[in-house]
Amino acid sequence: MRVLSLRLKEIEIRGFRSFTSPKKIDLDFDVIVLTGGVGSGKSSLLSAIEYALFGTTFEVKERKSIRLDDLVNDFEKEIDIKLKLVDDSGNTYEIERSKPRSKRGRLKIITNGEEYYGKNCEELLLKILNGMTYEDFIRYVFVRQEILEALIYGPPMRRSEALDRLFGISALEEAFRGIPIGDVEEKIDELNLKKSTLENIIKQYGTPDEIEERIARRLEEIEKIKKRREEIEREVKKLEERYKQLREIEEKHKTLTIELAKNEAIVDNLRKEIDKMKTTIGEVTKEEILLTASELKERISDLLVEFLRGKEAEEIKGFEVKDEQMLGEFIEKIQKAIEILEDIRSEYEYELSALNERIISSREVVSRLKNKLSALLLEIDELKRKKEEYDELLLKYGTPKTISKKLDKLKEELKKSETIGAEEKALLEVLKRTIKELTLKGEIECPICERKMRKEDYNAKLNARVEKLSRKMIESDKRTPQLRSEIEKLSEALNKIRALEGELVDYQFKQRELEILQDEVKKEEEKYYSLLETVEEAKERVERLTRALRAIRRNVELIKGYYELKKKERELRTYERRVKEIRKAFSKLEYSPEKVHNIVQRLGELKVALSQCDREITQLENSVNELKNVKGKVEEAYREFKEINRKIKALERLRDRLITIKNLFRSIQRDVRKKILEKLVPIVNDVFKKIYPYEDYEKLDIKVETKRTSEGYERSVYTIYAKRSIDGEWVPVLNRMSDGQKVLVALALIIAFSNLRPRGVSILIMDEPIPNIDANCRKAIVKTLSSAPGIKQLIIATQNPEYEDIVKVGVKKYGIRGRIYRLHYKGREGTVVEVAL
Amino acid sequence: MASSTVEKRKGEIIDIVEEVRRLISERIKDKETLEFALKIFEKFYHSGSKAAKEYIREILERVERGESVEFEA
Repeated sequence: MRVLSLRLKEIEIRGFRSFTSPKKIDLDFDVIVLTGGVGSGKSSLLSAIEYALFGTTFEVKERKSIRLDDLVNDFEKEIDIKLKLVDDSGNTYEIERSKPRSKRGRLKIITNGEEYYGKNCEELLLKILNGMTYEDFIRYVFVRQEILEALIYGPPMRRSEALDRLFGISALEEAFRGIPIGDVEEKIDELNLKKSTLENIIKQYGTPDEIEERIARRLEEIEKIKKRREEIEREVKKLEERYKQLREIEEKHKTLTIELAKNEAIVDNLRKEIDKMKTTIGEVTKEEILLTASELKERISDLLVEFLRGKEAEEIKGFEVKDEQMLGEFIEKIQKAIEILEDIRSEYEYELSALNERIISSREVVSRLKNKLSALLLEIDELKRKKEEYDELLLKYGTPKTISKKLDKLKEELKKSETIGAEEKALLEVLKRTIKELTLKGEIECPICERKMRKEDYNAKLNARVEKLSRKMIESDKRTPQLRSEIEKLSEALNKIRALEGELVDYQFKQRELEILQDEVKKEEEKYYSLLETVEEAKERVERLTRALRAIRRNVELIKGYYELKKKERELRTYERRVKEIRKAFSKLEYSPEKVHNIVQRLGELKVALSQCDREITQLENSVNELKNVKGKVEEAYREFKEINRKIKALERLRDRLITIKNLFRSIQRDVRKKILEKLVPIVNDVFKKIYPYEDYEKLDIKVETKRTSEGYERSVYTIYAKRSIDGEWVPVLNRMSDGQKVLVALALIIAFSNLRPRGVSILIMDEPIPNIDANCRKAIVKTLSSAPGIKQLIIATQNPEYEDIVKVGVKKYGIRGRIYRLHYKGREGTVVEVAL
Repeated sequence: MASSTVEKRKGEIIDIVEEVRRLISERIKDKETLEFALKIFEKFYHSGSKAAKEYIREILERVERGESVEFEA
């Protein structure tokens, strides 16, 4: 299938953006102008063509401002667009695209009555479009306002980007900028760092073979040490056996040493003891001792006889001490005899003690009796004195009876004396009072005889009477104390006599008692002296026995000392012999501490060597294990190192390739740009002359300069120049021209560029392309475009209604097939398309 | 889109893609680098910068993982 120049014939839109119910629009015209206000659906219609051809739109693919689902009208479930195309040969192609919400879109192509679906459809469509890709479409066919704006108003970089995009070489610029050499180098650096770490590990431990060699060397060393260890162990075993023997000998040696020391000490002690004993007992001969023993035997025997122990005496006497060997037995016998004698002495002492007690008791009795006697004698002396006193009292006062009679008389006399005195006193008082009264009255009756008397007479009589009474009273007063004194004296004498009589009653009895007591004292004293004699005798015997025993003991001690001395001497000889024997045994033992010391020292050295061997083996084994681990690590590191090296090389290759490609892209971009500009600039001038109907600028040119961007790389920057007619100067368009002139320059560029596109697609779609230009220019543009050799069909979407007039004039004057559609948005009904021409 | 599937467009004055491809092929002698360069260009041209960068990053990761990379234009 060969497709040449294509035109749009018809489009039917449903559910796409502002379009709801199906709208069929005839597109089979040379010039179509879509007019309408903001949101009326002009751009939606143009996007519907774009979507039908490529299944996407500029907003979705390039701007990425919306998703495909956002293209589906809110009141419809799916998009359904049918676009008919026709080529120069009259072949029609019906492209149907549908896309339910949230589902993938479908494509169907009907050509010459045949329907095509699925994957092959896209390929077929590409063929129908003469290989025009989406990128070609947005560059050559669909000119958006923003491209014009970028060309007219954009800063140098943006303008250059827009032009590169228009020329189709922006991909090379993006590739140049986007190829991440830095990332690759970063990875290479990372890997180099890892590599260096691994290199260090390998450098540190060596290669696996080197490590293996080290392991082998260490294993050999272990074997050697083990052999050395075995030899040492054998020697240790031998030495231990020898040491065991020596230990036994040493034990014996020690025992003998102790024994020797003990025996020597005993010998030494015995010698000292013997010396001491000799000093104690002095120089005595055997004969002297035997004689002493014999004498002692006689003495003891006599004593035993004396104290009535004949049997024991016989036994002692019968024992004959023939030599000093018998002294021990003799001493024993003597000791027994001494014990007997000691018992006897004890008995005597006991008796003596009993006698002493009796003496003490007798002495106490005598003393008591004497005390009693003394007391009785004192008592009798007192009674004697009282008897004499009694006799004297009797002699002086008479018997108690006589005294009693005298007393009665005196008492009676005293009584009388006291009575008379009282009467006289009373009378005297009366008389005195009477006299006093009479003295006052002068004459008075006698109180006694009641006869009248003369006062003076009466006074004289009374006074005489008073004088008489007073004398009597004085006499009476003198006699009464005498009487009382006598009575008292006699009463005392009587009492004393009577008391003495009572005390003297047992005077006789006491005298008798004194006689009895004196006899008793005499008897007790006799008894006491008899006891004293007995005690003296007993004492003498005890003392004699004690003296004898002391002498016996002295002799026994002598004999005993002698006997002990001889015994010790014998013992000394025994120990001296033992010492000699031990010394002999020592020499037989052949014991030498140096030998033991040497063996112990050697054993110690060997044990140290053994533990050294063990340590070395452990260290080497650890080292082997460590080396095995290290080997594993190193092998791993080595593998990793190789791998990293390989990766680094691959990455370096990649980096080199990317650098090559990057630089290549930049040079290709430069060359392609140059080639495009060489072809484009003349066409731009042709187009500019047609669409710019004035004479002030006669020619345009595009120059490329290299500038460094803020990111630090070089960028080609386009500058458009215009040749000014008045002075022939090339001036920068953007700095010198008006906005309208700039729009025309940009449009000239676009139209010219569309002439460089593949001939097969002869459509130009422009969305709000030409603001700020006057009517002359607009007419010139439409005329130029409609007559341009590569453009068969022109669709302009604009808000400017003046374009309607241009189309109308074009249709009328130049026979252009034109159509004007007015678009309105009517809510749920969506975009409504009205044919205005 | 493989170049072989596209019929050569007739009558065009300049075909940028073809021109770039021609220049790349002319200037790179190493087959692998050539294929890689063409692939990168295709990616940048048709799939956009993001996809192209993603592609290169993928290649980089594969190389980093030690996998073999074949460049097919």
